[in-house]
Amino acid sequence: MKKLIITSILIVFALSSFFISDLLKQNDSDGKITIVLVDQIGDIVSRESYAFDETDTLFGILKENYEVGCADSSFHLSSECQKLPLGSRVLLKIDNVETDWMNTFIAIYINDEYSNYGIDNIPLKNGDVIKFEYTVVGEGGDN
Amino acid sequence: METKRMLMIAMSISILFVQEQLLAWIPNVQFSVLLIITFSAVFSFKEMVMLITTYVILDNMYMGGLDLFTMVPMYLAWMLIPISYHTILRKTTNETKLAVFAFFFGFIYSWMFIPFNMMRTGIDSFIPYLIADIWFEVVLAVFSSISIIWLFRPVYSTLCMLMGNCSLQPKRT
Repeated sequence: MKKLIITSILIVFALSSFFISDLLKQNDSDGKITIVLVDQIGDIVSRESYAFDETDTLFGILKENYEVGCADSSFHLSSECQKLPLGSRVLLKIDNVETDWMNTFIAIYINDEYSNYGIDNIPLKNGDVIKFEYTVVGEGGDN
Repeated sequence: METKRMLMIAMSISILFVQEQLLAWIPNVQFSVLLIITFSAVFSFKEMVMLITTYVILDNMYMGGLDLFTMVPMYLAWMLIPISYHTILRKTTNETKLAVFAFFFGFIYSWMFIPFNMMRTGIDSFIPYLIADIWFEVVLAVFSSISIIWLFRPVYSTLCMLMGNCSLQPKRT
């Protein structure tokens, strides 16, 4: 009986954590975001605005408008970009900005603040400027 | 060291490694915490140092090309189990106490990697790492606790029977 009670408490804890997490990831009902892409020499290669509604995702908008590549299970570049059951895909390539994860990666900044979430977990908020910046490992955070 | 104990350690490493690979497709769902806690209850501290050192080297050779930024925090985190078992847990075999420990260990294991990732990436803000990993930590903490609650006694009893050096009915301390 004790085992069942402890197990139930743990399962309720896990489910409520995921429920709260989902609530925090809600988009605005509609709006516009700006996507900025920065290459290896620090130049802005693209700056475009896109309209969204509450069913859109940041990854969906990227995939629709850019050529994207993600890390596969061995962290090699793959164009498949399959959704992961937990967590977030890892972006390795957007158009000509290509990284290898071990030495370079794409850092995501929202309104010039380093993102606390991965590409699949970023909620879309009206007016946000989302910057994807080529970053050398060990030299991040200089934004 | 007796040959039988050496063989048992080798077998334990194999079981630990294989179960982790079999469950690798489900993030953070694994029996590693259960197994390492149970091994800590059966093997001596010195034997656990050997077991964990070999396991971490093997795991990193297979998965990540011996990256020190992964190996060191992983080694330190897993070593916390035998260290805690022989100190704060006072060699208990009470599943509830071990499940509570496993729950907190699920979070501590992941936090161990944060300073090393901060050094690696150069992004020195602590919060993104903490938030990015939180759901994986919840999964590890909850799955480890549940596996301890239901499986610690049968696994411990089986190991004791094979080793012949501990009580078949774990003493509740």
